[in-house]
Formats: sequence, structure tokens, C-alpha cells
Amino acid sequence: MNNEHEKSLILGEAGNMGRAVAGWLGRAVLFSITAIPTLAIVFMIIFIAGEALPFFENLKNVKEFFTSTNWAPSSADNPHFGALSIFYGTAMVTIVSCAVAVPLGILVSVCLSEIVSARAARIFKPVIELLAAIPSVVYGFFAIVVFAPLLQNSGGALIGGTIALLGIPLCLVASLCAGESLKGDNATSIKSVSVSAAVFLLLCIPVLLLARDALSLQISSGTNALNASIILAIMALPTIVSISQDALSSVGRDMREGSLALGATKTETIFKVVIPCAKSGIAVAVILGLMRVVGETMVVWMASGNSLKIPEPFYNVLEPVRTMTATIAGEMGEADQSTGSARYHVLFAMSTCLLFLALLMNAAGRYIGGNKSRK
Amino acid sequence: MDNKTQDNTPQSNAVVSARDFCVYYGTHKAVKNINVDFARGKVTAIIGPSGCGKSTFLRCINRMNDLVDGCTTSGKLMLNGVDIYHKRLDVTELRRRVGMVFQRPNPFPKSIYDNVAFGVRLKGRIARSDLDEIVEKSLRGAALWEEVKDRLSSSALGLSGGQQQRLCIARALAIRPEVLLMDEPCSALDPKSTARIEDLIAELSGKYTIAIVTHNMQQASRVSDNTAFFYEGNLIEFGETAKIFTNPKKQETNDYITGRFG
Amino acid sequence: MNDRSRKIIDSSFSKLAKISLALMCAAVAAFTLPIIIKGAGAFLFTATSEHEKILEENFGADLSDGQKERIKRGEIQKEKIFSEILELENRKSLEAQKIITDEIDAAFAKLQKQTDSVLSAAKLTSSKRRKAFADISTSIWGDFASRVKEATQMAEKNGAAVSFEKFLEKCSEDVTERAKQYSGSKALKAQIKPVARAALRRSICQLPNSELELSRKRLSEINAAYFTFKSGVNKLLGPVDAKQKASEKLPRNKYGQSRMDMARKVFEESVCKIRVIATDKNGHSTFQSVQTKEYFKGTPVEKIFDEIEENFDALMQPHFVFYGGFFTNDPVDSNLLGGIFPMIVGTFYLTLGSMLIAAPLGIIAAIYFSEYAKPSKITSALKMCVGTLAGVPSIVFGLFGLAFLIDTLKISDGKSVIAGSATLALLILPTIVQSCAESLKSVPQTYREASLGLGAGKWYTICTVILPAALPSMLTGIIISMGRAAGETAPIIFTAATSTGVALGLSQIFTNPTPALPWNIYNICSEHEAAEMVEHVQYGMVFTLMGIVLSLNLVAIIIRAKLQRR
Repeated sequence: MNNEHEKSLILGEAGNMGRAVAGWLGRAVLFSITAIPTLAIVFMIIFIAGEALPFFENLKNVKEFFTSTNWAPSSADNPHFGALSIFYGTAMVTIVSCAVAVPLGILVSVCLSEIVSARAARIFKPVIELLAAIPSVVYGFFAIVVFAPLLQNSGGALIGGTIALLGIPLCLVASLCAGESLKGDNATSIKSVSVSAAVFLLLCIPVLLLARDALSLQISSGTNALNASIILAIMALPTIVSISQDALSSVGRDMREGSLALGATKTETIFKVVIPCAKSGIAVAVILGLMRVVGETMVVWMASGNSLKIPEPFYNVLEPVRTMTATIAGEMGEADQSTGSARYHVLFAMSTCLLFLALLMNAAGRYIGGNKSRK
Repeated sequence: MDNKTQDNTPQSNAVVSARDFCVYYGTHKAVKNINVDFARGKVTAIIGPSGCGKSTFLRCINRMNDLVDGCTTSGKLMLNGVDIYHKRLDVTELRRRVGMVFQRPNPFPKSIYDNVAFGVRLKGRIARSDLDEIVEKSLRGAALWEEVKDRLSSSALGLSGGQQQRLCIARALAIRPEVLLMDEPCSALDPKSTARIEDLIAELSGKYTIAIVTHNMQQASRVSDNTAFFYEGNLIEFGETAKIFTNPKKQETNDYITGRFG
Repeated sequence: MNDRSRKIIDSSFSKLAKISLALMCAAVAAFTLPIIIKGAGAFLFTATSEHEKILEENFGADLSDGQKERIKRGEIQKEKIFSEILELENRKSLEAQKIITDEIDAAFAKLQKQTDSVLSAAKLTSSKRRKAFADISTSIWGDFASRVKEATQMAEKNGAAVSFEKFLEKCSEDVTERAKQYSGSKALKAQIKPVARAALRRSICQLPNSELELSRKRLSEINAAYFTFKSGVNKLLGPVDAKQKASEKLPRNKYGQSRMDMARKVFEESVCKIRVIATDKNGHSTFQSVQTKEYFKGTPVEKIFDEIEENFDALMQPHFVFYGGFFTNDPVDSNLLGGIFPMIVGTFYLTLGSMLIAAPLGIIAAIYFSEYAKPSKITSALKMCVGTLAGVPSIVFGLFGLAFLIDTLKISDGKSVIAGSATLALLILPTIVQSCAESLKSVPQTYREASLGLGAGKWYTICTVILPAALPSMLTGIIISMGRAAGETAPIIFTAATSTGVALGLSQIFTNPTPALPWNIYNICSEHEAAEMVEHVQYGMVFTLMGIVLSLNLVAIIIRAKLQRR
């Protein structure tokens, strides 16, 4: 046997034990470090829910918490913990910003993965990353210093202009389609033109009326639900865009080619093949975007106006609202001086709600994403 | 089965010997009851159609299959009479003795020198001059020295595919293994590089015990002393290369060699 | 549907998608451009000579001769304005004063003569006595009211309203004092009861004092307008003299405007226009904004205003500067003066601290996931928790830091840098774990096989082959997380941030809270008492934070680009 190989291949009992122990120890250390995020989640639930427990123990409190709008937790003799308007504010801001961010985000991701060339998409990628990298307090700064005065001084013109700019092209497309669809029925060209003109006018009038109404809007304060929602929508955009873009581009090339080869247009391919294939990925993107909106603190704290009432009428986005995160951030600063006060506990109760909302959404996203991988 | 090595004691000149050796992936039996001896200093080719378990068997010899989840074995596989699957076996020491060259050249993203020295350095600190000597010897052994001696410190990823594969061989030689396993070492290479590797294998035979898995029957017939034919996890036939290729005993072997399937 | 309409829908959808992409890019531009342009204005701007003066007196800057010369030139111009102001305030109208002093003297002389009737009146019953005293008072004061009005008008015309207001106040004190002396004189003391004496004193004083008060009020309205104007001038040019400077407690009042843009703004808003009390049609007094020039038409104040307007540049001495101290000086007087050094240092500590905690833990966890973990329920549960932690709202991390790290573990008494760093570390840990695990997975399996095939141990393989191969892409993920840690606000509100304070030393990070850019941006935007005066600082802070975050991201992008090229 070779001289260099004098060492035995089989380890002695002791050596083997040593190795086993060392290996086991190493794995144990690695495992315990890996378990830190898990421990953090567990401790988070224990500590935050634990601090909220004194509040939830009183059932009267709980009922008031979810049904009343009377919020005066710091009052010494007669405190009230009605957080309904705060929940409403969170819901409102979330819904409005999603209404802006979801269509826009999906359109952008479709554009990046299907319409522009791969090279152009690579150029736009840093733009999305830039948007994702901007700290939330900078968004808040923008909302309060730049956007709020703009909204306050010329908000009506802004909203009216947006309605007109979005509405008129849509009317145009719709009317052209109407005219074209007539053409198929062997109608004369004059007839089809007149039909499309009529449809155009019919659709344009309400749009323009709406825009005119918007022009004369007086906005009492630039920090309101709309401001916060729009900024939040911009914040949620990169999350939605990048994740749904991944989902879209993971749809196989063969699928697209199959559809195009059957004579479908690009748009038909996108809507009938690509998006249905990627829909669970897009749903996950929307949920993650939603989570970013719900959990965001600084922007809503700075831009939403922090008013403790449900807007009237309930859909009036131009009124200030207050969200859960902003309440926690704003009031805990004063409440933490008196650890253990009723106000301290009610704020922890609120963040318990927030935490469980986040966990729930996470689970939903995981469930939807999991469905995809099983398919 | 009428293998020459059906008895349970390995032949005296056998380096690697298998006795009723089976490999399972989960519940699937990928390699079935193999009995074979690889003779010292000889080149043994393992041939067979895709998925016949030849690579799996080869990777068991230095326990590379430990990396695959759910891979278990039964029976005996021995290196110099020592059970490779003994529960106290020192796997790293085993792998030092049984070197391996993979299908695709896989140099580390380090310099050429560091690639060759990698295995040597595992044994602890070594004087620079000694290391230089080993590196040169290994590179010469792999017939690469003349081509790279002026750029030892440049990245190994800058070499051509054939050079990279020879570098991997040099890297394996540097720790002076007893056995060298080659898993289709030429499948990712062009014909010219393949020829160089084959020449190299011829040079190395005698000094090392080599087991080479190949798809290419001409290659097997050119470089090997013995040939084992695997089919669907079974070892169908094992014998001297000349015999197998000219006068196979089994119908499957004949069909495979003549290109009926595979 | 026919083909044409399908094509129209197709092309219009493409355009819609492209428009939305353009919209997103426009949003990025709308965000970044004002921040870059206005943010640069925090340290690149047209300064006035006050700028160097502030630097010299607060930060011990050594001024060049040219700078000293410039300060002097400005000072000379200001001196002129200030001397006019002082002269105006000290100007006296002696004639008008004499009218009133004479009146008072005469009245008391009359009173002396009427001592007998005073004595007899004092003996009456209280209601009759009051009336008798009132009669006496009316007789001695005579037409004092009209004389005071006359004198006041005279003083006003002479531009001595300020000094005359003070004079009137003194007169009324004088009257009170003399009435007291009179009622306390020996002659009266012996014969009149204390109650009656007090009543006498009151009825003597009542009439003149109410007249004096009336005139004084009239003057004070005019003077209030003047002082509003003067405080505007002070805000623009600084205090009038060393005495005023020393008496001002707030540093912001010790200097004039140091930036030309601010100087123009102050000039337009506080000097050209002043707010005066006016009575609206309902009879309520309200504040009203009026043009200075019109309000003070024909008075010496108008002259001062004209002088300021004409010599504006000479007063301010505008010159372009690069103020590097913005990044290295401490803030003075809630950021109205000075720089943002402590915030930069605080952000630096927090970011680096969180990185030092999170990066090793994250890398180790990633190694476990990609190299050691076997697919099992436990592994997938661990992975799920990492994903879940990434989705927890940042404010909840802040509360967790407060409730767990500070209140339970007591890693510090109250807020501290270390508590904030630990909280931020937890926040970015899942991101680091995920991105590092991704990088480790992308290391080709062949590297592992090659190394293990050479007889290397697992740990050795990880350290010498896998980690170096994955390092650049791991670094990308870690640096991007670092950018996130630098910009996060919500987790540090309750764990580390304080709005004021100086830069901490290394030894204080375990005990002290620190100012930090993100928190101070919030603070200076939402809670600053004079937010409109620190707009440049707001933009400067945002610029700095964006600079830090974006340059970290840029580094990450460059590393990745290099990686892709390889």
C-alpha cells in the first residue's frame, strides 16, 4: 500500500465520536441562529399580544374598540378607546392606493415583460429599484412638502385634468371600436363614422362634466386621504411591478408562441394566455403590495392629516383620515412614558391587530403562491 | 450471472470491489446487486445507455451520492478491502484517496495555481516551494504545464474547455489518489480536446486505478483495459475490453455495442 | 369583433401600457429632481455676510480678510439703518411732554388750595363723600382730557410716538404717586380716616389716568405696527446693537438672514408687509396684513423702509458659497442655523450597527438553509417564518424593540443606539437571509462536488469555495438591506431616535439615543415650530439621506453588473 496512505480510512471510536459531536454542535449552532427569525415572530406575538392582553381582558373595551369612533385614550377620568375611525382610515387609504397601484403596476409589468424589448426592460429596471430604495420618510417628506401644497392650491385642476386625460382617450378607443364593429356588418362607412362619433360624444359628455365638477373642488387641506393614498400607491408600485413581472416572464415562451401562431394579437395573447398563466404570481404581487401599504407608517403619519373621524360622505377621499400605524407612531411617543397605562395597552392592542393582519395576508400570499407551485 | 468475481473475497489485485451492491433513490432501486472488481493500475470503462445507473455507481465509490437526498445503499462496496459505507468511515479521507473528474469541467473561480493547490492545502500549511513542486508535477501529469506555466496566477475560468478539464484532472492528481473516477470527462469537449484527454488517460494508466464512465464506445475501446456494461441498473457483462467489444457473451451487450439501442 | 377593432385594441393597449410605464418614470423624476435640485441648495447657495459671521461665532471658523471685509461692508450699511431706528425710538417731543407735566403740576397746585373743602367733604357719609370728591377732582383737572389729546397728536406728528407712549405711562405713575403723597400728607392724616383717604386718592387719579390710558392705547396701536416692522427688520438684518444681541436668548434672533433666498422671503413677508390689529365690520379686532409703505406713509419709518429696499444688496452682501459645514457642523437652535452632523453620525451608527448584527446572522442562516437543511417540515416552517418576518409592518418592529429589547431584556435604560440597531437588524434579517440563500443556491453544484471530491470537509468547502463564489451577489443583497436600514424610521421612533442632541461618541452608543436623518426629516417637516424657515434644511437632510441610500444601491448595482459580465 502507498506510503502516504498509511492513515486508516476507518476512524477510531473516539475520533468518530469527536467528529460526530463537533458536527452535531456545529449544526446546533447553525440551527439556533437560523431559528432567530422564527423566535422573533414567536416573541413578537407573545410580547405584543401580551402587552395588549390587559386591554382585551375587559370585554366592554373590546366592543368599544371595534364599534365606536370615540377615541380619547389619554383622558384621565373618562377614557374612550373607540378605534373604528382609525380602522376605517386604514381601510380607505389601502383601498384607494390599491385602486391606483394595482392597475398601474400590472400595466407596467405587462409593458416591461411583454411589450418593450428586453433591452429596454433592463434599462427600466434600475428605475423600479430606485423607487423601491427611496426611504419611506422621503416619500412622506414629498407628500407633506411638495404634494400637499400642490393639492391644496390646485387640487381641483389636478383631479379634473387627470379625469379628462384618462377619460377622453378611453372614450375615443371605445367609440372607434363601436364604429368598427358596425363595419363588419356590411354597413356603409358614413354610417360607421357617424355611429362612432355619436358614441364618442355620448361617452365624453359625462367625463367632461365630471372633470368640470372636479375643477371647482375646494380642498381644505392638502394632507388628506388622497394625498397619502397616491404616495402609498407609488411606494407599492415597485413591489407589484417586480413580482408580477417575474410571474409574467416565467410563463413559457412556447405558450406565447402557441397563441400568436393561432393568429391572436399581442393583447389577446397577454389577456388570454399570459395573464391567466401568471395570475397566482400577480395575486401574490398584489398582496405583497397591499402589505406594504397597510404596514407603512411614515407616509400616512405625515400625509393623511391624522383626523379622528370617518369622512363624510364615507367615500370622500379629500378629507383627512388617520390610520393604525400613524396612531401607534404618534401616540406611543407620549404613552411610553407611562408604561402600563391604558393608552399604552390600547396601542399594543392596535398593533396586535396590525400584526395579525400582516400574518393573515402573508398566509394568504403563501397559500396562493403555493397553489401555483403545485400546478 | 457468470461474472468471474462472484465469490465474496475480492481478488488480490482489486482496488475497488462491489458485492451485491445496490443503490436506491428513495424506493427506486437504481443500481442492482453489482459484483465487480476494479483491478489496480488498470483503466475500467463503464458503458451503458442513459439512466442505467453507471454514473450512480461511480459516484458511490467516493460517496459523492451522499449529496443526493434520499440516496441509500445496501450490500458492500470496498476500497482495498475497507467498506466504503462503514458508519465510522472518514469520508474526506476516502475522497482524498478516490479522486473524481466530473462531466463538465468545474474549476473553482480561482487562479490556476490555487485550483491545483486546493486539495493539497487541505492537509494544512505547506512550504511554498514544496507546493510549487506539487503544482508543477500535477500540471505536467495532466499534460497542461506547457500551456499554462506563464499564467498560473490568472483565473482558471479563462482556460478553454479542454484545458479546464485537464486542470480538473491535475487538481485531482495533486492529492495523489489511488483511484481516479471519471464521469464522462469528455462529453462537454470538442474532438480535439477529447483526444488530448484520452492520451492523458493512457499515460496515467498503470500509475492510477481509473474508472471512466463514457457514452462513447470508441472511447471505451480506445482507453480501457476492462469494460463493464450496465443496463437498467444491472451489471450485464464485465470483462477485458477487447473481448467485450469483439465477442460479447450477452445479447444486450451485443445489441448495445452494435447500436441497436442506447 | 372584426380584425380592425382587434388591431385598434391591440395597439391602444400597447400604448396604454407604455403610458403607464412613462407615468411611473415621471413619478420617479417628480420625486428625485426637486430633492436633488433643492437639496443641493442646502450647501450651495447665495449667502449673505451674516453667513460667515455665524460660522465664525458658532463654529470657530477662520475667516479670510476678504470675508471680514465683506462683513464690515455689510455692517456699515446696517449701522445706518440701526442708528435711524434707535434715533426714532429715542426721539422726544419736549413740547408735548411739557404740556402734560404743566397740566399735572397745575392740577395738584389747585388741589393744595382746596384742602379745606377736602377736609369738609371727608366728614360726610360715604355716598355723599364720593360725590364731593368727584366734584373736587373735576374742578382741579379741568380740560386735562383735551390737553392730553393735543399733546399726543403733537408727539405723533413729531415722530416721537415710541418715547411718548413711555412718557404717558410714566405720567400716570407720577399722578398716582402724587395723589398718594397728598392723601398721606400730615394735615390730612390727622383728620381723615384711612377709608376716606383711599377714596380721595382714587377719585383724584381716576380721571387723569383714564385719559392718559386712552391716549397711550392709541399710541400703542401705532407703535405695535412699528415694532412689528422692527422685528421684521431684525429678522432680516439682525439685532440693532450688542445690547439687544446679548439679551436675545435664541440664537436665531442674534443674526440676520444668512441666505439670500431666505432674506428675500423675509423681506417680502415680514418687512414689505406687516400685520396690524384692525377692527372688522363686526367690531372684532383682527389681524390684517398691510403694506408697510402705505401704513407708514409720510412718517420716518417709511424713510427707513425705503433705505432698506434701495440698499438691499449692500446690506446683505450676497455671494455664492459652498457650505461644506452643512455636513460637519452641529445644528444650532432647532436647525435654523448650522448643519446636520449629528444626524449623519446617528444614521451611520444605526446602519453600521444593524449591519454588524444582521449580516453575520443572516449569512449563517442562509448557509444553513442552502447547505445543511434537509427538506423537512421544520425547515419549511423556518423558511416560512423568515418570509413572514419580512412582511411584518415596520412599526410593529419598533414596538417589539420597545417591549422586548428595552423593557424586558433591558439592553439599555430607554432608547439607545444599540437598541435601535438591534431592532433594525431584526427588520432587515429576513431580507438578508433570503437574498444570501438565493446567492448561495446560485453557486453551481459542481463547485461543491469538486471540492468534496478532493476530500475537503463540508465547512472547508463552504468557507473556501462556496462563500467566495457567492460573495459578490451576497454583498449586493446585504448592501441593499443596508440602504433600507439607513432609511427606516418607524422602528427607531421608540428605540433609538431623539430629535435633538449632538453627535455621539463610540462609547455612548450603548446608553444614549441619537438623532438620525430619517427621524429628523419627519421631525423638521411635521413638528418644527418655524418650518417655513428651514425648508432648505429639510431638503438638505432628504438629499443627504437619499444620497446615502442611493449610493449604497449604486454600489450594489455596480457589483451586480460586474457579476453579470463575468
